[in-house]
Amino acid sequence: MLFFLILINLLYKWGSLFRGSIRVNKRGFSLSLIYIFVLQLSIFHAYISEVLQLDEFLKYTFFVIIAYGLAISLFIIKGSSNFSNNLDTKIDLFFKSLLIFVILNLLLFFLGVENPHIIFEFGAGDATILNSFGFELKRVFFEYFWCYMCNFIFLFYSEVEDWKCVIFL
Amino acid sequence: MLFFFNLCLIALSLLLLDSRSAIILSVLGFIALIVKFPEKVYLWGFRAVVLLLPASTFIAILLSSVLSGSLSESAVARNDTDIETFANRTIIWGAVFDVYSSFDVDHLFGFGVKGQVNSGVAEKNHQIFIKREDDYKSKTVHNLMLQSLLDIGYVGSFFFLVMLLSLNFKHSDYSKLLYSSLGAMLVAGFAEASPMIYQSELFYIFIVLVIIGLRPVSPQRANGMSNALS
Repeated sequence: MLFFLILINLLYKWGSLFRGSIRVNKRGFSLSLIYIFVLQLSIFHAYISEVLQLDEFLKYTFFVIIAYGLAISLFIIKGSSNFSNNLDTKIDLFFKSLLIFVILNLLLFFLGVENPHIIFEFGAGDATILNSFGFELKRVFFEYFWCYMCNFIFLFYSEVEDWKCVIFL
Repeated sequence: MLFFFNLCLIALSLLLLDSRSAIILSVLGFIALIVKFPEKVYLWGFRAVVLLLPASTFIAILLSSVLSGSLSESAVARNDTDIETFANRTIIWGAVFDVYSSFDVDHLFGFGVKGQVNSGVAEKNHQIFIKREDDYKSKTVHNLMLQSLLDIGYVGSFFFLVMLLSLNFKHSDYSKLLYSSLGAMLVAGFAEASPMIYQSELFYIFIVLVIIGLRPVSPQRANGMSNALS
């Protein structure tokens, strides 16, 4: 816990160096950082108490850090310069980042981590959020399609019993 | 034409998914998009969902006892033997309440990811997931806040809620849409451990929405709003 507090303190100071260059809601940004570190610590906790095996530990760690890092870099850093307030641009970025994310998962898979998690998760939650974004169904269909195509690659290398994810395509 | 094709495709996929919450949330999401409520309704609706999250299990258990044995209960059950119905979730949640009924230092910072294993909740619910003998330990407790309490404890859960309350989408012309999307994810958290890292893709979308919500209100937009008000 002490280590955690020191880390947060350092991060806060580190963050203050960039104050002004990144336009964020500072309170929300600090809280989101704390949340991500708490999550990462909980992953580490599970690993040292042998609830998670090494590959699961790597998978979750990769997941949290990459997900947050990717989102931050695409939305905050981009937002600091000449970033349009147009949601279309954001949605574009969102789908592109999702595609990058799937490809990174794919790399992880080929690096030896079994079941890098993403294919089996397409389901109810996915449908819910896509329907919330349902205003842009054409975009969902055409751009999200490529993410599913990447997942097809998993199908050839994984033992998938549940073909709903394919039908969902 | 393409719009209706996609709509049919999504409707079909929802039916194939066999998930009642996804269907309900999709309908609600659709209504939220079609009906033009004032922006404040979305903002306060979102905040209300966040504030109700900690109480969600109590509300569910209360509803469960009210509906117990009634036609309504059988209507929400998938079938007689299905273990993952609304009513059976209360059994799983009860095991978490048992763990948290007496204070322990672990409760402050949680038991780590898959907290149900270290806390012993998974063992207590072993019988419920008897059909899935191999992976009963990986079964979450089907509630965002309870899973959060198990994984990251009171402290982490507190930061999680405060972080959600600090978000705003006022800077965006599509704030209503963003409130609806994030709100829908959290409403799903009443009955599922989502959005958490157990559902990786959904977690990523959640993080993206959080990041969008971190941006401050732009001066132009703030001016525009004040001009519109005046």
